[in-house]
Amino acid sequence: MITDIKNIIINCKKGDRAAQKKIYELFSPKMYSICLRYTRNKMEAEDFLQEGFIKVFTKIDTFSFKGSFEGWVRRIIINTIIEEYRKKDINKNYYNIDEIVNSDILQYEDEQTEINGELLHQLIMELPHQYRMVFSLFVIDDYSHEEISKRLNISIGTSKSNLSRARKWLQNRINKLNTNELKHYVSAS
Amino acid sequence: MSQHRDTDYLFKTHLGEHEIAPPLNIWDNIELNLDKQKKKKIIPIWVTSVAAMLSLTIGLLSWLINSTTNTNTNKKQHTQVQTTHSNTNIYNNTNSNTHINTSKNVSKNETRITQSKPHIRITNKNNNIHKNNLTYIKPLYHLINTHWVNTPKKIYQHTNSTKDIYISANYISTNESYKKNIKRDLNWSITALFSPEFSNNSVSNTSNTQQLTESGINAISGGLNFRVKTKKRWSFESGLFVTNTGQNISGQTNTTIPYQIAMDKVIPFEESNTVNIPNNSLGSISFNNTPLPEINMDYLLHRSPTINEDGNNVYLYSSNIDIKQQLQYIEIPLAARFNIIEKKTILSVSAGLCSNFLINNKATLLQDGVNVAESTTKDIKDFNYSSKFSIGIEYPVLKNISINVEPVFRYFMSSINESSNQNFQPYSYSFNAGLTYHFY
Repeated sequence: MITDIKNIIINCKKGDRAAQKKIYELFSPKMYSICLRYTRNKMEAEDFLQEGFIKVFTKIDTFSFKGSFEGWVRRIIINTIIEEYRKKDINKNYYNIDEIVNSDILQYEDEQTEINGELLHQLIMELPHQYRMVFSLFVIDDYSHEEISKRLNISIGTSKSNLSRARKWLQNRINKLNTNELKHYVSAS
Repeated sequence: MSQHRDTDYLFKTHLGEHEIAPPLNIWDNIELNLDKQKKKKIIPIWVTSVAAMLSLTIGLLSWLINSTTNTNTNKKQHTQVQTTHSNTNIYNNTNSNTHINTSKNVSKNETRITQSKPHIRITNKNNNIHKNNLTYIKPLYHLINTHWVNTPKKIYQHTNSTKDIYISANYISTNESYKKNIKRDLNWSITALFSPEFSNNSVSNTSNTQQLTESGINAISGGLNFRVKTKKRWSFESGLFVTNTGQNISGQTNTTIPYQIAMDKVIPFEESNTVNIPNNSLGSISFNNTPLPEINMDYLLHRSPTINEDGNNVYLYSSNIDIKQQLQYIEIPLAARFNIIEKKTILSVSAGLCSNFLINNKATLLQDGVNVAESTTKDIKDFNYSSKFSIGIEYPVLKNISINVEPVFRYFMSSINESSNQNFQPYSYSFNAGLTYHFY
């Protein structure tokens, strides 16, 4: 499999369209999930996925098989998104996490819930954009607060505070879900 | 704290690998964009090639048409040349499709050139000079065969060619009249040129420990060229050009960065990093304050740290970099040009020396595809000499204006870097295209 990917990348470097399509098919579902998590809406996510992959294919010559290719693609996609947001200073108009309507929480309460990627994705998507970005960068993509502050053009304090509040909000949601899950389990038995 | 870690772990494990199928049309858009970019890359080469081919075709066609016309005319024309003595009076009725009568009052001491069907192209009547009952005909094209001056015999020798008649007509005069008009033998012209330029280095660096590949850069150069043409086929020129040289460096560089692993996270000890590129042909570069490479846990878990002098764990990290080194010069050339073919289309070769003054020194660093820092290449000389060779093709389009195409080769005569460790003499190819205005 590793050799296969290496061959595909080599062909991709030569500009082989079939190889480029293969790379896209292999990595686009993961990258699309990232794009959705880092952007404000589906349309922006699609735009960035497109722009990110164009960058991947035009810069693939610089990839020299040191480190994971997926990690390299992931960095390019994330960098493309946050670079664009920083340029446009979009995050200045974010709203407070407290403004999230609590009634949204109820929609899961009567359902059989299993904590999986899909559910966590839905949960994280309910966070305001900047909180979501900070949480994703720090927790999922291993950025430091210093790096986040530079990349998003916010202070380190804001980054830490965003993370803390996002984390707390997500914890509450998960705790509620766990409680419901337990209730369902008890009633079923 | 433990709950935080659990939450983080839950999201990292589930969302790190989470997948959502993107809409189907995105690949089509990507493909379309890649095609456009491919076309954009091809266009400059394509345009240059077509321009070169077009110029050559125009030149060849022009030459062929002239040759054919001359041959046809030669068959029909009858030229009479009467013996000339001390004085040669010539006048021109400027009615190009009738005939030239070279004498106002034809006598046994005057030259008469007549043609039954001459093919003569003469410039605007007003441009002709009438002086002392003489008319100096100004030829349409910038073709001067001054060796005919004062040698009326040559007229006879060249009367087979209609073109020769009108060209020489400007100069068939008495010795005295010719001297009065000697200033006209120096033809001044100014040319505005621009060109795509491809730079390369003359030395390939094999001792590069950073696994970096160097390649040439593409840029646009241009400027003004002043030329003075003597009565012979020689001309001398100078001017002012903006030229570019440089290189692209791409590959991997190893960075030693102190990191620690705390709470399952990779935490760097420093906020920024300095990327040094010491071993490249053009000159060393240091990019200060570049963001640290993003290191994930998986990367570090497969590597053993070493301890640096401060007692910190240090990891060697390789990042993909892409650097564009660009030097921009004002070039002042001093060159000699020789016209090999002096027909309607002029083919010439030129060689000369250029003084180069550095006006811009820029290096841009892209780390993992993102533009992260700018710097300069160290120890680049502010002034240098280069040599320049070119082949020029000039074709007239209007009375005083002609189009020029000119492939040029430039080569720096000494290293552009002051450091004794660097010996970088870049060379570049460019394809000048432009317009020339002649002051005659």
